[in-house]
Amino acid sequence: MADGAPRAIRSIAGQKTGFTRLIHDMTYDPVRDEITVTQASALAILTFKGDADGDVAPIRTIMGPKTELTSVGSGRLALDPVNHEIYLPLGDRVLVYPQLGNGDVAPIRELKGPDTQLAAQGVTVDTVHNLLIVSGGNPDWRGSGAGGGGGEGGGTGLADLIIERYNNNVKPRKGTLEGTSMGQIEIFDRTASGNTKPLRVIKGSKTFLNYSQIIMTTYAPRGWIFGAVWGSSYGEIGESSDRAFVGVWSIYDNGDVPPRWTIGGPNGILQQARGVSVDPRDKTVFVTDKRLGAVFSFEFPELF
Amino acid sequence: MLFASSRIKRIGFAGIVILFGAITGFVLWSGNGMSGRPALGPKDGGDARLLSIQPLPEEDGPMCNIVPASATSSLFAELSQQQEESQPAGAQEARPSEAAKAAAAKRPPVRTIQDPNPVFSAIALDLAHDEVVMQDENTYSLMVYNRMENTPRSARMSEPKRVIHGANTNLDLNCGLYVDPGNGEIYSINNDTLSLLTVFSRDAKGDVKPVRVLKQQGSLYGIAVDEEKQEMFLLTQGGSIGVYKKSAKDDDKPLRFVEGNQTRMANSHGIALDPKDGLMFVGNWGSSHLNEPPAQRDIPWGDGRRYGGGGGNGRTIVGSGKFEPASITVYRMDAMGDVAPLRVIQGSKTQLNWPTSIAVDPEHKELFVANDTGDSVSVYNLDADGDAAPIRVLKGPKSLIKNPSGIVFDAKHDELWVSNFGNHTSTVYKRAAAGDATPARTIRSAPLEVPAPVLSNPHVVIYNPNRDELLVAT
Repeated sequence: MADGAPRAIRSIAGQKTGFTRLIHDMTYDPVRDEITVTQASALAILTFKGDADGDVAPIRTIMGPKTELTSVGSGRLALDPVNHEIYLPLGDRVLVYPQLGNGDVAPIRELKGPDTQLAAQGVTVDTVHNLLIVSGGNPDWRGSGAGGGGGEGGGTGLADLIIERYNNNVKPRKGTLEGTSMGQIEIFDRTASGNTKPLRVIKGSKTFLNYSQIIMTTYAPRGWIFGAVWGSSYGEIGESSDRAFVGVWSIYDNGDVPPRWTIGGPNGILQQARGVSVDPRDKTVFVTDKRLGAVFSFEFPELF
Repeated sequence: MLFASSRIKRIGFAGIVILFGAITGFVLWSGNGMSGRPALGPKDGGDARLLSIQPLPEEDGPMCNIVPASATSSLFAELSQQQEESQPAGAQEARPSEAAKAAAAKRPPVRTIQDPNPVFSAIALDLAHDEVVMQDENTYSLMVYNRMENTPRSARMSEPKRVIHGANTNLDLNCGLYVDPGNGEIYSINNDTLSLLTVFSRDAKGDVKPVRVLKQQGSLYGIAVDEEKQEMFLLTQGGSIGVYKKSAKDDDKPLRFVEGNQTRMANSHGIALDPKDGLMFVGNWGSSHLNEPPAQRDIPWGDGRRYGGGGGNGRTIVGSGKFEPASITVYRMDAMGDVAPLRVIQGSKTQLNWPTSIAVDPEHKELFVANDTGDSVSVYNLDADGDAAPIRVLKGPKSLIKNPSGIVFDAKHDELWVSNFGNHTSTVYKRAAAGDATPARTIRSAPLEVPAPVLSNPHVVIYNPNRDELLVAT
């Protein structure tokens, strides 16, 4: 495993790729050997060959009016390589696209409605248990302090702010926890659509979900959800702190429950955990830290 | 940018194979079981004898469940369902003790990919004091060197004269610089999460607060200043130019905006001014979408309407995204509102490839463009238009140009400076240098042979089991 400061063995970059500076998520399909990313400027989903190298064009591009995209939201996405679907969390809804779609393709499913409790910013799938897992803002959280509305029981919910942000490009205001968590993780049936309640919701002060942007992955054979939690609230300098960590929850967790395990913190090495991935064969969890400019490999045999 | 990093585990894997083979060989070929007892079998030609039996338990039904061709679910799904029903992983597992959990939380990583060296994302000159300022986007610092610094080949790096670094500085993923030619104040723009312009005094060093900050809405990626009019031009990646008083701070509003669908700004990077001709130049990577006209606000607009708030376009038009080739768009410096560019340099002959920073030489009427993924600096006539080929290109291994992200022209000394994100250097050339030209001077923050992972702002990571590699988006 690469260690230290090695040169990359290959790099996908350049004019033909269509990338912006904002690649906030990507997926890899090990069966089709394809890499898929969102493109925020062009409101597109780009798919590349898995062995792409250099300044190369995508092999498929989903974009156009039928996509219903006015934003790619936080830029996150998930891929189900078994059912060939792509999921985009977009504030008050999750849109699902055909993985093999190309061109102006309409979503095949939409999860949206008040019962969903969505303020979606992150998404992942568990293809073994057929679950859609969505992270985002907790509608119960109320910001207080400067700019956040105020007073006991008052303030603007983060969910409202997140949804407003996607609609009007407004940044959520600074706030503090008031006995609950800023973020939540919702677990749906993978094929849920319309105004469907989640099967389970992980939220509350014990969850440590003190931020709404949580990039996730799963280890489906054991039902684990891995969530990279920034560890700070909007407005803090650099938005980084040693409260950052990667939390591990079970797909069966529900309510105000702490993570089963935490990796790299809180009060550990992480400052701004952003991405997480796993190698079950080597029982390793990989974590990117934006503030530290690093990729860490943690060995965690307990989880695999 | 996506890059893949290999796992160096050939030795370890081979070791495992050898070890397994040794055990197998011991069991199969030694004739002894693991307990050391001699294997059962005929001896001395005698007949085999039945010693004992233990019958298998009775079971009903066929040995294997045959899945008929008309089955509506796959074997994979059935097996997954059976696994879930028989072993609901996670739910039945006991939670670890708090002690075990706390210990695990502090478990250090076994490997870390990280560049410990400064990486220069932007550059600016202080000619009054014969100094050059570099933005280090890797360790969130500003570094000041003598303008004539030239790192000796035998030296590991050049030590800066002053470094501004620390939590109080508000420096994060900063990508653009300007130095006030009068008082030497250093203006540094943040590209990402902090959305700030920070201004430091000329002699600032260490973990110091900026003397002022200006809050922004979008991700900034360009700064230029008209000293004559004392106006500051701030470019956002989303494609808008906010023009402020040079002394603007805190929540001060811009004097005017240039933004909108007609501007053809598209994932913009880099802005430069030609005060002599009253023009400004913007670099564009090419992807964009369309917006509806913005709502009424309080800032004067070019067409007489008034707009307010923090700027920004109106609602995004659904599915309106598009990809165009990279371009340089040209406007009047006093332009306001949703105005079309006067000229657009765009096309295959231009050789533009992620144009990330721009500089202007008004005297020789030349435009310099740093092409990030082109690993080049392309030079154009200042009045170039359309599919215009560059009049010169700096590129090649001797030039050391690698992912150039900052460029500045020194008119006094007729030199061109380039900050290279891809190799821990900033390099200086004579203005008219072309081709694979060796730099006149090089300032290094690491030995030349030390590779740069280009691991800035790492976001998502994916493990690719097919190639045993890590994909990292930066």
